[in-house]
Amino acid sequence: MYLNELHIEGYKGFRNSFSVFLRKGLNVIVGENASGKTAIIDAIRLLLREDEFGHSPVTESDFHRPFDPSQEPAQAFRLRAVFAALSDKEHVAFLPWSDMDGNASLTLLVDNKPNPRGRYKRTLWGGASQASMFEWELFDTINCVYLPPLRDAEARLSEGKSSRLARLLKNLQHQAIQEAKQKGEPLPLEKEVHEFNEQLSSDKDGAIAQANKLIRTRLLESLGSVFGQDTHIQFSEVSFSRIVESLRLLFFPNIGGASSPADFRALDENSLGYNNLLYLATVLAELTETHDETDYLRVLLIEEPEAHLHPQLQIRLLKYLENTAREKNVQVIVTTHSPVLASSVSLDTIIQLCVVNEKPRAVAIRSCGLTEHSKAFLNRWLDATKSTLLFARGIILVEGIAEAMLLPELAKIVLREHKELPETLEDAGVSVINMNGIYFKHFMQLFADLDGNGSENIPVRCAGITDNDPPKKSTPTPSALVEGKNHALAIVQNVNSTTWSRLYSSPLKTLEYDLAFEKNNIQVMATVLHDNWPAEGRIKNHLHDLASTEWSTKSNDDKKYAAFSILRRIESSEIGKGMFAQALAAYLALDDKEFAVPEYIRKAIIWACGGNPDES
Amino acid sequence: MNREEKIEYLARCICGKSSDATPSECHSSLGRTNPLCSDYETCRIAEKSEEQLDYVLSSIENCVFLKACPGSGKTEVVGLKAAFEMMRWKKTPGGIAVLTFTNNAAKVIEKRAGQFAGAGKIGYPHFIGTIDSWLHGYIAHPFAHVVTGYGGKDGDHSIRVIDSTSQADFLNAFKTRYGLGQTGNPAANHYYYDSETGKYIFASGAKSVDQTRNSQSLEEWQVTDLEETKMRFEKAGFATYQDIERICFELLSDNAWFALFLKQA
Repeated sequence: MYLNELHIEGYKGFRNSFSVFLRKGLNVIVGENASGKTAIIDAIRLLLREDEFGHSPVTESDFHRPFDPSQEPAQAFRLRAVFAALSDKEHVAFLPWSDMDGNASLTLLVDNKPNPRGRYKRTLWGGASQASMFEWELFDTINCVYLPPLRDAEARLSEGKSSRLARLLKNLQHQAIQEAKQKGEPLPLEKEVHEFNEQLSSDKDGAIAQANKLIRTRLLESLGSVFGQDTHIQFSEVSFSRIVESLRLLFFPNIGGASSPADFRALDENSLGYNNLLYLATVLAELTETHDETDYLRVLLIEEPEAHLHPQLQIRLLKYLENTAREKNVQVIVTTHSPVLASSVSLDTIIQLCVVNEKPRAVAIRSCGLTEHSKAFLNRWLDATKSTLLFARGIILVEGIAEAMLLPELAKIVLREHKELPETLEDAGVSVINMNGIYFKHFMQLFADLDGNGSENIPVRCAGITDNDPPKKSTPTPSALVEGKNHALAIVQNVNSTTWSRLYSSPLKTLEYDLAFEKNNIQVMATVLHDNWPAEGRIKNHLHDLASTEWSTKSNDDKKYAAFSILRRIESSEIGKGMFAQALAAYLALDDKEFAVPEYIRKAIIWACGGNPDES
Repeated sequence: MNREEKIEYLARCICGKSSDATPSECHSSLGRTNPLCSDYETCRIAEKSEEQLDYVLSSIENCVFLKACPGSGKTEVVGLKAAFEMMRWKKTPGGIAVLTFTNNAAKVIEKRAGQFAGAGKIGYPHFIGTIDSWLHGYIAHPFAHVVTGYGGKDGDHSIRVIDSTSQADFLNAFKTRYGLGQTGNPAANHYYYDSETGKYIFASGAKSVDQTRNSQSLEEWQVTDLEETKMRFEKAGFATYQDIERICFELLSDNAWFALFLKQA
């Protein structure tokens, strides 16, 4: 069985009913800050009563409090988990928790009425009714472990009450401890430590015995025989838990390289990242190796596993978690801000969180209606740069490097005229994703129900910019358009009828050609080309001519030859599209030169930034 | 097995008597510190009669009826039997339900079984309690809403149990549409449907009223009226003890899903 659904109401950022659907194995929850990732993890912890040493009491801030002071805070919060895919055994065990579909559920209700001592009453029940039989022994078969985002790995692996290491050792020895307790016999480890202590104190002339004697004498002298206490110096107390709590983990940089235990070093000499990995390894060992067959469900919650790790280690770690989840039957729920992590796991595992109209929403990528083909494509295609689309507030999908470089600068020009929108794409949280080709069908399905199948979609605005791509030799003008061969044009209508996505195509030819047709842009583009053209001669002179002409008053026919000529130079081996785009972007960024942005690009930018492109 | 063998077998299984001691030796050595036997003068297993031992060793796959006069030690052997079966139970997460008709009996059996097997061994996944608490806790509260259509309140579908004699004001909302034999309109908690006879039985606690109502021969429209009123009552999340019994009966007998479950258990 696994945790399939989580419903939250009235808790932290979730005022209204919020649901997230999880899957067996690995789940990766992504999303921008303050979208509710941690609140989801906290809700699971509260419900499954996971607390990393100590209690996780409910506080006033756990109840949803609107920022608008005229609105009341939530009267109660309710957390409900639904467990699916129960085995025959689990069906029997979880009968009172079950519904008629055979799924089990668990509900926690906390009223926002603290008692005089500030505690909140919690009601926990399995299944449909609070009055049903609730067995804590059954509840305890659900094992949940949590790793916080800011891990103090060093402290957790050093000696002390909160030592994870001690917890692992105790769990490993659980059976033996119980048996020894029943028989009233010490454990082998206890015996050995005891003998060692005996040895230490039996040496009458040893430094330890001497020190003890001195202390005792002073005590006796100062307090007298009535008030005086007795002392004894030894290595830790002899109970098992005290012994393991005084153990600490040491490290050596490579596996098998240490020749004696003395070579190992204390964790404060180790790197943060590796300490975190050691910590994680300890917790995983505890979760996967110390369970007995009556543990029905094991959940591992990790916030930001990427903390302190370099990209390769992040990927390695997540792949390992994915395998552990599958092989050891542990449900792993991870939250992350790392595009590296997001791009390294299968899309099916990803759950995107975002806030729409102040309401958090979770969308599992697997329910976005991606075809198997699209999924396979995106799984290969999404890299660390492209997977930023999972964290963005708006997305502009482009076909190539030229668009990707130019758009941020063009956006500044467009947004200057729109005071109601942010000033730059960065301010708006909009990412430009270079698809390196015409792959709108695959990418846009994430944000748009293209086939009208009623699939869920990521509720984030997505704009696509595509070329018209007529025959290579053609020279279309606004008054003499040429039909394009771009297959993406076929889905424009579909895309534009969806809630979150728009696809805009160049009316004429390609980005550079269309840019050249606007107002006096030829002058700017020719100047940039001229300045970057490597060789003196006929072409450079021609570019100089273009750059010194005023174009805004010229006819379309005049412009089309100039635009075609410019496009040819840009595509030539002397410059190249990427090089030109970079030079033009630098030119635009530096200079406050007039530069006009074509309508279709303007619309895409406004759409992605949250404005209404059809208004202006 | 002869008597000695039976005692030996039970003592080893239930209280972990070692094989090299006789029951009386065990009682005087291990038993001295064990609360199980320290309050008793002899070994509690060795003192049982042949019939008692046979009952404890009888198979739980079959139905066994234990019938004896008061004070003959029925509860004691049921406790012993429960401890014995729980100690050798292999079908976890399924468990044994030891059901009684009174809370008192349940408490006594639980205490005795706990003495024999150790308190930690007789809890989950087993259950010792009244038949009502078992039905309510495992069948009625979790599943009654499936039959009654009660939508729940704040995600909680617990039945609110109403006494059949209650005359509370809110019950006015759950009265039949038509009066019955000059006794007024019965409220939904004042009668119940008896699955065995297929008849409605009036039991509001007010004797003369109940008598008059029970003596009426009901027309079809009256039966429909009673039925609809009861459905309305249950759909709102209420039920009497008798209603809960009927609902459990319906759930367990008409439901393929439950049948499947009970087979697995």
